[in-house]
Amino acid sequence: MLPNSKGYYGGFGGKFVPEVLMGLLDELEKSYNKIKKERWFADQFKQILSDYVGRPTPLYEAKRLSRKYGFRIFLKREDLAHTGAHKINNTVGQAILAKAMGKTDIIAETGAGQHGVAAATACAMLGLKCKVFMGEEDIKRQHPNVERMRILGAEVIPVSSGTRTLKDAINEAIRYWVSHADKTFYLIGSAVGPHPYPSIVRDFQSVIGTEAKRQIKRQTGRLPDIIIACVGGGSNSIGIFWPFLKDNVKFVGVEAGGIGVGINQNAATLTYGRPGILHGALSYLLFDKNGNICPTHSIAAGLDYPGVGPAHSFFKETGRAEYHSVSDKEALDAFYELSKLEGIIPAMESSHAIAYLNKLKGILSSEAVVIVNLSGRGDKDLDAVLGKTK
Amino acid sequence: MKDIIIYFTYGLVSDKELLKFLDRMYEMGIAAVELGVPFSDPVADGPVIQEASIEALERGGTLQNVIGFIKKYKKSIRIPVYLMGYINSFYSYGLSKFIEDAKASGIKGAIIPDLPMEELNGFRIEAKSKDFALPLIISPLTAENRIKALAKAATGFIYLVPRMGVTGVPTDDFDSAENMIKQIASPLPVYIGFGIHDASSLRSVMKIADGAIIGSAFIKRYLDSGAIDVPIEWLKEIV
Repeated sequence: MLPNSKGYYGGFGGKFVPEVLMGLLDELEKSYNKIKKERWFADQFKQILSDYVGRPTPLYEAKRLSRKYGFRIFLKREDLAHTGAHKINNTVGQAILAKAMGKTDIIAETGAGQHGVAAATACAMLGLKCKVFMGEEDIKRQHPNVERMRILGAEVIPVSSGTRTLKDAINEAIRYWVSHADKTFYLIGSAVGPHPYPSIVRDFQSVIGTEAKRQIKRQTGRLPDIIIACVGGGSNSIGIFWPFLKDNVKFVGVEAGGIGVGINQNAATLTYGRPGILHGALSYLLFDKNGNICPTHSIAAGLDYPGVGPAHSFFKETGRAEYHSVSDKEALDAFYELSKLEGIIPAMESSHAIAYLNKLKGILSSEAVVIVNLSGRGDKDLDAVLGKTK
Repeated sequence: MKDIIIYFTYGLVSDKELLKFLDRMYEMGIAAVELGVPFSDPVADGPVIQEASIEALERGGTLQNVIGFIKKYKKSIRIPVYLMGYINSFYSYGLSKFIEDAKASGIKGAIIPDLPMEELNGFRIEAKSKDFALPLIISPLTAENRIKALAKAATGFIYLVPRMGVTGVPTDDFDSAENMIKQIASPLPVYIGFGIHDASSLRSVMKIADGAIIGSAFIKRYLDSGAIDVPIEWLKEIV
């Protein structure tokens, strides 16, 4: 059973939080375990996903891309979900849960702004108050998403501490949570944080893999050989991997290799990190010899995070999944390639997964079937991309 | 006479100054000093201790250095010293090695706000067997049966937080703390920390608990003035 009753995937996970939050996590776990089995919850979640989010998202066979690489490539089109990324699956689920628990004040953190927008959207639709913590650095590079959150009625709280990116947005959200613990529901955006969050997020995102499994069987008559997804905190990847856990399907997680192997040059936690404890969980982490968390870099704000969800650390240790990294430059090339070959502008995060295809060229046979999780669309990245390529 | 414990971030001042500071605390009758181990991501701390942490980190404040400091001056340090820091600093150092080195240097124990009672049980057992204290925090949202369990699992002292939130937000309301103290059946002293900011809040705490822990209000006066005498004079006034 993953995770175990203490919230561990093998040796990873747990609840490393200040005492004031322990009761709340317990309450959350109990409520979630009860509510997830209730018929009304499953019905409401399913209905919102279909009528509002637009699920199922298509599984598209990218024929021109396939021809270039020499094997069959299918894209799981999470970019077509409402708000433009997979993040909405989780925010809708958690917002229904929060409401059922009688919580009306939602807080969220955001890096690229995609989770912030998805949280603001779900809160608007369900009539909940929403505060989104966002690093000042990210506010600069993802400005359109900041405006979208505000239009949706959310309050965006700029975070000026630390590196002013996702890590610090989470720090500030935790500080707020600790201070308003009795009234606030923390809507975490990735498969990270203290138990039970990694599992809640995994469950809500598993709709991606469940659909993909049905779709690939229908379209090819079989399961895929490989599934590729980008990994920041790891929610889109765990979402597409999880329903294939017991199948003979290879999982590849692609991390942000940034501009080099040094500190502050990448955000490839599983590639360069080691087990440590941050934001409530024991998992792979990028930190120095004194235990201080390293600053990270990625062209993709949504991958720019020094930690990763505990399920991925477990997959790495057990060999269930492989983790690799691709550079900013490779991701950027993939961004243009997919746009020009298939008419799909991918998010910079998802571009990392696309870029990994290049490493399989000449290795896989023409019969091979590969699914890439196209976790989001790239409209939000135009400023960053144009700035880089000028 | 009840206890006063002062929190001060390690690395903010030179080792020489810190040594003098510890001595002055002892002379003043302060019961113990908690030396903060600076950490890059202190989620339980408000702006004052965050700022102190950043400054201390820039000046080379690390767990290794603070243990080395206590060890080096073991003979001349008369006041009991605890460490307060975040779990990743200790985890990264190696938990068994930490207990061994800290104990050998004379450090009494460690307060780790992001390490709840349930996690890293082996660390807690090992610390207990070596008589190295790991006090636990009780919060206003801690349920009654949990208060009992925490009081049983804690070693050294019990750290009672009178309100929700991070360090450094002043409070004058200790009613819930008073109620919680009644539920604690433990031979360990119960100290109240977080929010004590002046003579009146200190007086309120001393009425209900075995002692008070003062951190942000003290450090703020140091950060604002850059002189360690300023917070010490303030402390003399309010005690």
